Amino acid sequence: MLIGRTSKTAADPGRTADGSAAEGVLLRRIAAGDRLAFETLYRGYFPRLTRFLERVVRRPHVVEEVLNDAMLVVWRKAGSFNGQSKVSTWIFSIAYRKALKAIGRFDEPVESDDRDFESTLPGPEDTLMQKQRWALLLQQIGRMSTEQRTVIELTYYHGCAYREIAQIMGCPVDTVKTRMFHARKRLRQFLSERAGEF
Amino acid sequence: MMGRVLSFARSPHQTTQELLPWYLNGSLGGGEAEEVEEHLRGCAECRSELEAVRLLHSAYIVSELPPDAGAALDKLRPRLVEAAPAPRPRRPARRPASSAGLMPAWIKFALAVQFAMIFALGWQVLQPDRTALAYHTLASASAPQHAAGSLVVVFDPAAPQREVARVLRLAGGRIVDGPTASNGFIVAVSPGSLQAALTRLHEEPAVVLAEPLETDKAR
Repeated sequence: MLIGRTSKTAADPGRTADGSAAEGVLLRRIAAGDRLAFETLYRGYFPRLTRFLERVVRRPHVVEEVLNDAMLVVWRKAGSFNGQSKVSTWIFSIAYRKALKAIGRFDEPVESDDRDFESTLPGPEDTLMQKQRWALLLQQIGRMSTEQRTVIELTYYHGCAYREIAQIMGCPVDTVKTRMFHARKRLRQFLSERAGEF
Repeated sequence: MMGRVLSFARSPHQTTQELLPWYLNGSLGGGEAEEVEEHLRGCAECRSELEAVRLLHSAYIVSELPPDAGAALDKLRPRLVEAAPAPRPRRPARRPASSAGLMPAWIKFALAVQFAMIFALGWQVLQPDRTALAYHTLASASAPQHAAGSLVVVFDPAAPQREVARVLRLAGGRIVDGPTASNGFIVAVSPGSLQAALTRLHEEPAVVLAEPLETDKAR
């Protein structure tokens, strides 16, 4: 049986493996107060961070604010980046901490809502059944805890290694694996309950 | 319950079960991928689980347009002025301050010219990179222009890399740009073989979409 892995995804924080040296140079320039370098980095990370924060915070109206708060930390603290992780891991860890802080400001949990995932539904070339199936799966992910959603998002969309996720979330690698394990178990249960529809 | 960390006994079966998502996204290292592959060959349960993970992976990676950074950046700019970057915690040892004063005038002049050249070169190098890290859509004004014979191809996210390489070889194409935020690649084919390449690509299950890339002139 042919068993294959996917290559890293387009939105992978680590996809600039070749470009991480370039990002390191940008950070050094930012540390010296270079606005142009900062705006280059900002524009490069904006799509990925927006997507990440939309999934973690799940309150569209605060995503931009959280993103800018995180990037302001990057601007201020670029000089403290010690090169022990990828630049992307460092930036995502800052964004994750800002996201948790923002979530903490809201008392009420966000109920899963179809609208959360409207923008991510497949294009018109996909069948209606596929769309419905994917929408249901994504809704189910939307009902998970912030930590489980974050692990799924970083793994499946951003192509992160579990060690990078542990660095971003500031937790042990076994915790990352456990969160993913529970999330998958829940999704499997959901799929088996709806076996007739899939 | 959800917060409890499982104690994973490291049998090959359990190791494979826990690592499948990262096996699928290609991020395993240090021999882990090989261990997973070896176990998968002999374990139907794990192969079944891999398919379930692959389904989720496919459903999760979907096309979407990248948001525009411009408006958000406009809001951040005033705050950048207020908050200057903090100095680096540790700085390399500097030369004594008096050394500059001891330099002959011509060395100072040569250094000034050198710095000016470095700055100018640096500026030139940086300018084209300004959007290099940014995603672009195929329709965006900042997207690079491609030859009229180019194709835009979206592969199944679950397709292994070697499968993608095989398809490209059969179609006689090579990737010249991408991926875009919607996972599209620009594939160049030799002039005159556009239609043949399209037909071949459309026959491949690993190809989700293959269309000629319309140039501005073509529109």
